[in-house]
Amino acid sequence: MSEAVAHPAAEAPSGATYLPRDATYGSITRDIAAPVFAPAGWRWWTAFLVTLALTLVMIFAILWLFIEGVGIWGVNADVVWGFAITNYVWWIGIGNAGTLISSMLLLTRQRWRASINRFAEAMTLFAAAIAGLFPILHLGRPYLFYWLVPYPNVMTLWPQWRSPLVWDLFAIASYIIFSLLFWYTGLIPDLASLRDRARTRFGQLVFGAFALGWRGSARQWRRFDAFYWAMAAMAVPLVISLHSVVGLDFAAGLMPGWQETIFPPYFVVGAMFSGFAMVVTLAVPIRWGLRLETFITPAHFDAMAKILLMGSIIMGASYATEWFLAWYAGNVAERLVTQFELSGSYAPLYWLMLLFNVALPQLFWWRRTRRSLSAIFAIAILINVGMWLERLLIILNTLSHAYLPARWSDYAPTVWDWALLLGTLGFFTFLFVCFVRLVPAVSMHEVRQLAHAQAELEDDDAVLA
Amino acid sequence: MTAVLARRRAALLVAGTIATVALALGAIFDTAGAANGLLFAFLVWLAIPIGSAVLMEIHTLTGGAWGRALRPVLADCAATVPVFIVPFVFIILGARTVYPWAADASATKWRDVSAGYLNVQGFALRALVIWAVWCLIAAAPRPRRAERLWAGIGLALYGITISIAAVDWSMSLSPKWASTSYAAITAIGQITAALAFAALLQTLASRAETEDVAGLILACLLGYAYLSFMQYLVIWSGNLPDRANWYVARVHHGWALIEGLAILAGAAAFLILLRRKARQSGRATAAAAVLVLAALLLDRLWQTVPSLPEARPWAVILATVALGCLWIGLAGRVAWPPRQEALGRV
Amino acid sequence: MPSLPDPPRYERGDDVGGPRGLIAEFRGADALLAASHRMRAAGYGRLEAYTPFAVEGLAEALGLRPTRLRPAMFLAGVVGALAGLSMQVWSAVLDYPIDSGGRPLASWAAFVPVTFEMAVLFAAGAGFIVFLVGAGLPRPHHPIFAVPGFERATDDRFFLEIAGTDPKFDPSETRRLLVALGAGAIEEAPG
Repeated sequence: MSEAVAHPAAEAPSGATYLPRDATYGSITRDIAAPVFAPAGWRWWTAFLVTLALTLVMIFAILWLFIEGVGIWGVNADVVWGFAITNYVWWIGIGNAGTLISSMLLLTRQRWRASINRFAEAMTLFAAAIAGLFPILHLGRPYLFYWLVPYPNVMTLWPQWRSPLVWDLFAIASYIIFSLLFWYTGLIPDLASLRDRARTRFGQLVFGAFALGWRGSARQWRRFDAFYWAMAAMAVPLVISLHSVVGLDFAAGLMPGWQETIFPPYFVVGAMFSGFAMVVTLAVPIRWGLRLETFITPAHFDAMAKILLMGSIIMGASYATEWFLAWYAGNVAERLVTQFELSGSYAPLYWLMLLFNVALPQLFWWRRTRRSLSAIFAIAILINVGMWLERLLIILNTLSHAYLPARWSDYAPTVWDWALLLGTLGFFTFLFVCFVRLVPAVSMHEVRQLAHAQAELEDDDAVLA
Repeated sequence: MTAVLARRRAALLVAGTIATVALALGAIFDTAGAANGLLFAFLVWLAIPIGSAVLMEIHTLTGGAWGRALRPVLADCAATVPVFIVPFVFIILGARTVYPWAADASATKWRDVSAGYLNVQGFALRALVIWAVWCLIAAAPRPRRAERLWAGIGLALYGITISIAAVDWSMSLSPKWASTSYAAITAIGQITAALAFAALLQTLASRAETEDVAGLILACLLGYAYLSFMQYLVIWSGNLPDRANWYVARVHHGWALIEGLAILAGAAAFLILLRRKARQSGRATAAAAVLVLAALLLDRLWQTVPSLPEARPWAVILATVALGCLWIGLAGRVAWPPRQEALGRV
Repeated sequence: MPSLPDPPRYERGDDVGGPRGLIAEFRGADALLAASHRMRAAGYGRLEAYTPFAVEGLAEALGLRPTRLRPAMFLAGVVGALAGLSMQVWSAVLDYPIDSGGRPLASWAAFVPVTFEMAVLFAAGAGFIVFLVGAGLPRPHHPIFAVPGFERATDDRFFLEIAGTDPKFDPSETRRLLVALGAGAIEEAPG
């Protein structure tokens, strides 16, 4: 192996390329920036209006919750967490994955990330912001959420530092600020490209202001690289810490089925798994809607499918470990919860979850599945559903079947639970629909870099100009 | 480093043989002590060959400069996995003196666990499967076609087998204690040990290669520390007797000091590897690798020996020296300097 | 070039200053890299390049000094960690000691998450500020934007700038050298 070995940067599995051979720097800028400047088509307007309507549903569901209280939900005195915390964990999982994917792929020099990192990070921001709502919404008195914040107050109280709920506040707040900085920094050079391409004064002013005067000088690039890589290196432990804290929300307690040492790492893997599935779910329509087939290629989907496969195996191994060790050295309640999982009130959902999260992704062992866009899209959506079910069932199984048999009760969601879930899905999509028209959905400067690396392989740098 | 080892091979073999003979003599007087020591040494040294095999699979799947650089040593280490069946046979023979559940069926939490899982026959049967799979992963020749597919299958099989091996071989030393992340900790410990060992032996050609390897050691070290800490934090928070007891046994009688040293060594390696300059330097990376190996050794000691009441210091030391010297010496005989075949697999 | 207001021709800049230098356009990253190496070899010291993506090895080719960004981030991270830890220890042990499930007042294991989050938050924030200051941002307008064709520096062209204050600088000699290195359009640099 000669050339490919010398340039791991552009090394692509199974000889695939992530860019067309005839791409030039100019065509990259033109194609990626096009959706920002072109007038919106019917597809975009349809998506905009539909998601706007769903956003209104979310706002209404939240307002009604504030007026009436958590009694409008299906939660009861035993199953106190229900949909709200399910949604929280699900959204924060998706919100973790974008940054994790983006930085891990950067650190491992998988340059193909250039095509997906921008919208993966946007996904992170939106999902994390939505996730942050739920812990507040699920409080009986949401207007007192600021009691988690340490500040000198007339009650002379401090937060309980040994509580994962306080860790949660710190983790989420740090994470949202961090992700915003990471995403925005990566965006600065592209905003400068937009500033220089804008034809209207308004566009020039807005993009110019957000580009902060970026000139692309070697000094700036050097600092950009130093900062961006350092952020990527910090992002990995940060994301892991954040989702571990989410896992600890469960594991630090004493409930049977939650007191598991594997919860922190397994929540992290679950986040990565569902997040990757969400990236795929978003990549397909973005690619189609923005005509980015050139930049998001079958090779990308192939690579992501392999990661989903790996994730599904780890998830499966984790489930099996839990079952086995509950039997092996669990107490009575833990054994009973495991039994309840597999054959109790929610067993059909549990088996459906196993089908979606563990069994179906095994189809990715076959190259044909990995190369079929519709198959990947379908499986990715089912994984999203499966991971949502997983979080729901972690909550329901334990709370419905905890230590006291007198407090065994089932949970059923109400229309307001569904409205809030649907509404947040709509709001998330709404933010995304706006995002793809406001900034380039793919990182232009990194795709240029990828093109450069690819051309180096063919020893033909000039074709790009 | 490789050359140094090759020159010292004779000395290693002699030292290993002397330690083995001493251990065997000791076994005549104190069979339990020798068997307990041997289990510890087995768990320590086994990590490197099987971890090497896993690293090779990972590299086949993902590529990367680190793997190309380390492959010769990794291949040599992985090829010695079957060697470890020998000490393992002695451990099975001495199982009754090592594992509480083997001598006493009521040592487990549940009767059906003793009957259905934690018994010597089941243990031996599962070990047979584990060894078959590991020999297949580590030492069996592979078709060059569909290399990635085989690597993927190999990793999945490793994930399953290590989950069983970690429970059977070390977690079950405290039969009432269980931690769901224990197998993951064991697996990442094996990978980290193999990586540090290979980085120590392989002369790295370029700064880029060194940086790649050093970065990976750093990531593995952090992963190991993270998983270990999370296990502690969850158990500390829950404070349930059956789970917390495991840690209680490990803060008394000076054991906290051992773990403290392990943490110090790990922290020192972390601080070294944090600097990019150090990650590009072969010497700094080697120093960090030594610290990582020391940390893993001390941590293994801290994890295992408090559950081995029969273990005697002389047996632990002799067995560790014996197995280590013989393994490195024998492996070096087969393998170092790097075989052409190993290079060819790049 | 967009129709932004005419910039002042001379301005105190972080990248430029003094008599006017030259700015040469190249069509590829490799050509720019090669030219940078040659200019350095020819004795030029005050060079700057503008590229549409981060070109590996360019900073070294131009002889730029390494940045102090990462040490600053590390330091800020340590400060953040200490701030987080001392906040917890002070409030839980000294200001408001309360027995919670028999756990020690200084529950160091439970203090780790907040300490860590604070470290990362401080490091990231400090890094962003140091990055902006070091890169001379924000600075919405810069004289270099007035160079004809410079808008392609964020698109598909690579520029090499030689400061007029460079001791080796000679308008005609430098221009000749740049042409020999394969430069396309060569413009006067502002300042």
